Amino acid sequence: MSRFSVITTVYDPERDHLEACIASVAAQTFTDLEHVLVDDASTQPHVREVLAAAAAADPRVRVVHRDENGGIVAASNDALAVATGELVALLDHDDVLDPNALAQMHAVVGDEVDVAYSDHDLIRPDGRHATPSYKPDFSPERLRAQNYITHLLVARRSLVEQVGGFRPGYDGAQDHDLVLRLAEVARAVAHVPAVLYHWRQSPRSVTTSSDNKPWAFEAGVRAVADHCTRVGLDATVELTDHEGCYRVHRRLTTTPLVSVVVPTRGSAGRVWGATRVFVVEAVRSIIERSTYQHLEFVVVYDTATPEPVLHALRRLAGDRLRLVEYDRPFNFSEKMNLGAVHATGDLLLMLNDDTELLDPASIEVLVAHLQTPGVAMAGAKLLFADGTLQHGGHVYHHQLRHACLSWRGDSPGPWPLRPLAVERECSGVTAAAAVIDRRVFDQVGGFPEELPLNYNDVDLCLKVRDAGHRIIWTPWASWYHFESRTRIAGERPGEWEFINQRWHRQIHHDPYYNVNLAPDRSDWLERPWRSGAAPVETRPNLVGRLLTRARTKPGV
Amino acid sequence: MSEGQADEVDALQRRVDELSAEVDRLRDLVGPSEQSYLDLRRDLLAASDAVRGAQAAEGVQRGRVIELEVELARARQDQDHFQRVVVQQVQAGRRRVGRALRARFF
Repeated sequence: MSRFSVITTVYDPERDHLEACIASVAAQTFTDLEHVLVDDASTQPHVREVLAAAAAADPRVRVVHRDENGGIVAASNDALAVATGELVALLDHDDVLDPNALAQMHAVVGDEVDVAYSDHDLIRPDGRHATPSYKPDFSPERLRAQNYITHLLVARRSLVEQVGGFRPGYDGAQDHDLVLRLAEVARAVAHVPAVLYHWRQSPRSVTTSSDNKPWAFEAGVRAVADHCTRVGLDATVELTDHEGCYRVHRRLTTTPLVSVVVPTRGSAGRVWGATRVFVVEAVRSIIERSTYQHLEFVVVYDTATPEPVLHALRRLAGDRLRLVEYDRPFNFSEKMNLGAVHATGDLLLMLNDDTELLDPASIEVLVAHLQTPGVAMAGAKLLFADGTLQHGGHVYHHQLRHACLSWRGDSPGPWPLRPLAVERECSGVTAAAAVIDRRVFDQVGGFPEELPLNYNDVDLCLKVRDAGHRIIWTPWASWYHFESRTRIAGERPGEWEFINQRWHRQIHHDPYYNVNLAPDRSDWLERPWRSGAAPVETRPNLVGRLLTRARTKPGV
Repeated sequence: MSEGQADEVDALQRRVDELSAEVDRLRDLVGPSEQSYLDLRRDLLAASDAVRGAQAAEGVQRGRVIELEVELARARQDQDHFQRVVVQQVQAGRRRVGRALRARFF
């Protein structure tokens, strides 16, 4: 039995593309493999020729010819039926594997790992490589929202058979459907952060335009909806404006009391040309707009807060308001912890006072995430007053940053993974607008009072994840946040040293980012010298070719 | 009227004067009628909405600039990478030429 069965379904590819595909498997540095090619009744005569030549040249190549065209699902299942490898690797008929692809996959798939995937890039029509997809480590929430895994996917064959292989009726999204079912039962899913798969961009490919295969995304909606049913998620699924990105509308199973904890000193400022008292407008926006109203407001106010501000809050929130006086020098962490002590809700909505609710369903969306097992915290999309992005989730990649700071508020984020268009796991979210499970907040000890101003939410998030919980960022919950545009408004001595010492490893390795991306950035720009334009084919230049010819002449 | 009652009346009179002054101050703030105050509020909201719209339009442009800067950085990296590959090929070519010449003449 081989270690790997590389499975390729074939239907009328161009000759040189198919040859390149087969050659890339033959050239693997890891040789314990078989290449199963299923011809789905191709009409082009060159397909049979190429397959026959490949089988004759390499005993590891196994060819199956179908009598009639059955589509990719039927052909893939035929390939699975004859595969004998311990692991199955999926390869499309015009795509190419990196020579070390299977070797690297073999290295990560040990006894505990059932599924593994790598990064990939595209082969443009002119042959150049472009648009690398540098993916996060396994992110189940994101997998519901988009098939970010795609290629190269390797899975234990026994597991593929256990979940029933490819399902008819999901053509075009059969990979997404399969990987969702595999992820539900896999003991572990590993990610190899290297481009091991080159996906050919052809005019008919899903990688080029959704207009060509709208049915593929409709099948994707059904695949995700089925997945939600299987894992007990009461939700509906819809396609978003961004191709291949889905929105999962969760229904609330219960409506727990949410304590909105707001620290304030009752300050005022100008927003959109008018003066406002921030905390009053933050509370007003929730009371007047939110679709979720099982709330209490715990306002932790400095002693210096003007009485009219407190009066206005009482008028607004009535008996849902708890005013907690704070008479010490400013310490955000201490104020939030004090608010949590006075909160009676099962969930805490941590909210800065300089915010305004934007999407009325925001609190509902965040609460619904916390009803998913394993999720303890969920953060929202925050926009500056001009509508640009203030918070799209944290990125801990040698620096602590907000993802895609100052991008357009409605931007899906950098191509091809579009991180701003999907709900996804994050290393952390800002505490300016985030819901956390009260028990987990207490379990991890709340905010660190050693950090009065900065990084306190980073510390909280890393403690939450360290305790084994997941943190979700969602674009479907949104607030305005009238914060200064600077990332950090004045750092106090020792704050960075504290966080860097406590969480050095986590700050320098974000599992939901990628080591191939440029350090100290948060916009998915790749590292220098790893350009998507590479590799350029190495071909001897004219002088080299002439010299080679001269040297190979007899007698030279 | 006792002396105590007279003091009380004086205090009340002072309070009435203060309240009258406050009413005058508020009238000055509000204008000749409450209706005009509501008009002012409407004007303020309309102006604020206009500012919001203008800032949002500016934000769209600012966001695009940021995104273009990222694209530019990406393009520069591609260019640097390409140059690096070309330089490597040229150097490799030179080495091949050198080796060939040495093999041919020495």
